[in-house]
Amino acid sequence: SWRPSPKRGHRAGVGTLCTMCGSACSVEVDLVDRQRAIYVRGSSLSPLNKGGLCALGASAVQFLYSPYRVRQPLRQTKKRGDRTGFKAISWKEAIGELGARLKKLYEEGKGHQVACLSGQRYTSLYELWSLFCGALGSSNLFAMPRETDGHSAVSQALFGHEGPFAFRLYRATGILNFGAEWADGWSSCAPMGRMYEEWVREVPGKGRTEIVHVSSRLSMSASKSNEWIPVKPGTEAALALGIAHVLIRENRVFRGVEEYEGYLNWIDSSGETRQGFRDYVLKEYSPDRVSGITGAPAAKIEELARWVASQPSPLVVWGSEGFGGPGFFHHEMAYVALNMLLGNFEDKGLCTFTPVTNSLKAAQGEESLAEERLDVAAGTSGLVGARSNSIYAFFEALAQGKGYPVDVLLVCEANPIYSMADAALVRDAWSKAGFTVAMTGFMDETALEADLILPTPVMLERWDDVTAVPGLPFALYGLSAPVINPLYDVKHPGDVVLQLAAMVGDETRRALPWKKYEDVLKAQVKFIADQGIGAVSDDKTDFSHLEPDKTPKKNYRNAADLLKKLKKGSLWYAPVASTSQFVKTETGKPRFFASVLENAGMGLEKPELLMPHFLALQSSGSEQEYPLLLVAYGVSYISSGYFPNSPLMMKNLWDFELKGNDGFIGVNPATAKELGLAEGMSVVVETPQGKARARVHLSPAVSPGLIAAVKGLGHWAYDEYLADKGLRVTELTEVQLDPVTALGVERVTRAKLVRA
Amino acid sequence: MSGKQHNGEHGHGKGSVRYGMVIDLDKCTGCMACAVACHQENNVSFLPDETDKTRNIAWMRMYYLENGRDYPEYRFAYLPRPCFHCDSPHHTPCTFVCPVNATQRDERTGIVNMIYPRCIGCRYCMVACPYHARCFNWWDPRWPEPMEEMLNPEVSTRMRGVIEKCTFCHHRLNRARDKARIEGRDPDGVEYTPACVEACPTGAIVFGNLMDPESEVARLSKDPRAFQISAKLKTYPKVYYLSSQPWVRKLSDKGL
Repeated sequence: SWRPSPKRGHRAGVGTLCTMCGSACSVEVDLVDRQRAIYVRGSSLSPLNKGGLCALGASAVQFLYSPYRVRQPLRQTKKRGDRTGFKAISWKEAIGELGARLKKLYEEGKGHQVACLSGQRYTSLYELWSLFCGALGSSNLFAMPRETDGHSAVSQALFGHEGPFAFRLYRATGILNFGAEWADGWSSCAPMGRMYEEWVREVPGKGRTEIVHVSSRLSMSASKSNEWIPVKPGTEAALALGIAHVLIRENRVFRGVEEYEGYLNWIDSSGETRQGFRDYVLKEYSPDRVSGITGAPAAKIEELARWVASQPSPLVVWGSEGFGGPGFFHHEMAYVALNMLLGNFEDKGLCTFTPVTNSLKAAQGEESLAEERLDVAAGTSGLVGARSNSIYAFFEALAQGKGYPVDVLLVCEANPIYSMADAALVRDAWSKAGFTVAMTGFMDETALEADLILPTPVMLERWDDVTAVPGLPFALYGLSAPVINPLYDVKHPGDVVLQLAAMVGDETRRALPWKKYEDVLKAQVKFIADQGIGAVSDDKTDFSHLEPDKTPKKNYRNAADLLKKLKKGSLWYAPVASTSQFVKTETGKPRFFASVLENAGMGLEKPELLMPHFLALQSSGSEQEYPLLLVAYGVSYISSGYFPNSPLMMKNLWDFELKGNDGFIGVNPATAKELGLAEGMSVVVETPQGKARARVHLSPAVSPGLIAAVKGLGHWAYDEYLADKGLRVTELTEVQLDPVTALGVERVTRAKLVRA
Repeated sequence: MSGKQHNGEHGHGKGSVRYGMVIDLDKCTGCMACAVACHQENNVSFLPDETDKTRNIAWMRMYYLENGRDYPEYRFAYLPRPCFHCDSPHHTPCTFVCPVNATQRDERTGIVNMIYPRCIGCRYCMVACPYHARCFNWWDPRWPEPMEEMLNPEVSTRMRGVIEKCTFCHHRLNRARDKARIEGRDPDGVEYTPACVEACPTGAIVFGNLMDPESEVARLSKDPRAFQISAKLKTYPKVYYLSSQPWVRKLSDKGL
């Protein structure tokens, strides 16, 4: 037959939860004769996506039936990275070999020489890894970098509680946005789409929510906002401080802010008077000076501050200035401080924290058993040490051979070899790891480089859960139940961890007593049901009505009933968490300075180091050699994480992103003219990190002097529908380690364009 | 540009149903979920190289709109484009030129259909369509093993040599009509939701009966922000767009 004829059968939908990202969208999967999954639609059982879905979620069945799935365990028999060297082995052999290695390390007291990198974060699977690593004696557990990584150190410093920050977005009447690309994948795709619909809906008595977007590149989010304030790359935080200056100067700040420690001048433990945030900002961040840093006119800064002050419910949100991943500690502090000035961290304010629902806790005493984390031992960590998810600092220590060796590196459902910036560092670190294991559903770039591949089932074939959605101001729990049987000889990573725990030793057996991963999730559900609070969402639930003092009516009977409801894709949720529940400072109020830094001896000579302040761009390479700045940006229709673009997503790429196999670099028309470049011309993009060929796309969305490339293209694994297509921008981008958190911060990288 | 077009006066038999769509370009954030959902639902095939837009197949295609200004006044927007299921008198541009009656306008619903086995691949309709809504199968469709498993049994796959395009998910309409018959309701004018409408997370796409004055789609089609693409051609698209941006509305006369 020259065209396939789809197999006939009865089509019917089954509910579950999408777990391809952590956004907790309920979905309905259409099955034919309960065997073949053919279509995924959003379901209104989650008030977050309310029936909407993103391009990745709509592609779920393409990943399920993708030709690049791993169908059985594979062992590399030749040199690492040799595609011809993979040999199919049995699960018994695979787990046997890995378990024996771990057991040996554990028995020799070298459990800390095992490291794990997880693609998931707010799930029970991550908590299981945490228990396993702890019992093994390793603190080398990391999650892939994410924007909220920066929240934990800042919130710990200012509130005494480790974030993530949460925002009551639907309550805001005016949003001042510093690079949170909400229409391009910030936070979550489909739920943010629903939020946007709320913002622009005309409701009598409530005007539309106005959005002002501050960034260096005109993204879709900027284009959709009421106003776009273009600034020089990486200077958004300075603008935030300039606005703080005007608000303070004109006395338009929340009255109670004077009670916050460090707002007014204060006396430190040695009896010395220290400058408070108020005087510091008044002195250092005048609109004129900020205008010089950011390029935004001083009058505009004054106007923005007055606009913010005139809003009944103003909210400041921030992303990592459009670059993806976490931002700088001191910059994040600036955005938080601006919200504090607006009174948003008071109870019933627009900012709070996301509670995490988790009953899996390590037994006492295990922390003391663990050796220091590698980056801490090697001295590449930041001031907050192992409290930070500083995977880049870990890779740096590993690459430089500092600290101690890493004998086993486990990567669970993540693709660091492809998707992390500063690809050369990641490769270098990888080559130093003794034995590398990729637990993955797909033959991705990381799998290609692994010594052992343990195939995992994909969504629709497996159990998963969501223990929190960072950014949401209330506790939430969701379950994703399998809707079809696994197609191949695969094993859930949770079940693999439990099997390994049973093999390794007493400590791991004690910490992970469950028989199968499903039991872990049932324990989580029972934990919630035993508390007897919260409610289960249905298609009428509206999260925008949630208030701290309004308790939703309990609508489940017991754990079994709760499990049954969650399995269909409903979400369990609790009332909005008020800020005061979380704040653990001595005064019970937020503060404007980071005491953690004071304890570390910072800020004695330079008091501003304790406070929110602006860090000028540091980038390797000289301006003479690299006169341009490169930004790698994300868009909602290209996936740049563990999942690649599906074949049907590839249809949607613009022909200024990909043409044939050629990738593109966006250049401002004025810059291009100066360089003698025209649309479509071939160039070599060169940065201190590396070089790559691309074609020129003239784009007025990019500011003069900046060049821009989209993330998520240029794969070399997978299949002919994906491989070798477009610019692999992670080969070019630089990562800077934040001095406080040691988080790898992506900003702009110095670059030049040479005609090819 | 007025709402008067959909009262069955264009030389068509008088009916009470004209399915149509309104796409709010202010709300569209270009996530492209509509296109993926559409192509998944309708078994649209894909090629190793999807970048040649004159050769690939897309039922819901995105267009990139720019305001023509320089940085920092530059702005852009996306325009999702299904088939417009034109309502022009007697025939739509595409059905008029078809020598074999492989494409027809359903008088009861206003939906412009394709009957693939009749199509002889002359591509007259492709040329006639001012909106590039029609795609030609230059090659045999191919789903790499085991991706044929994901094909939807309610939609036939298309063979090399035939034209295909958006059908407003009319298989979903047929299912809704069957259900109405079984339940003893009038199958004409049943409500149903095409895949693109279902997926859109911002609610930018609204679908329904344009001739039902109570419907949201009829109300929005008469909104002051509403316009059609190349209205001057008098093809009477049943897909309306909404935009509050003067520069977007201005582009509507320039075609696609």
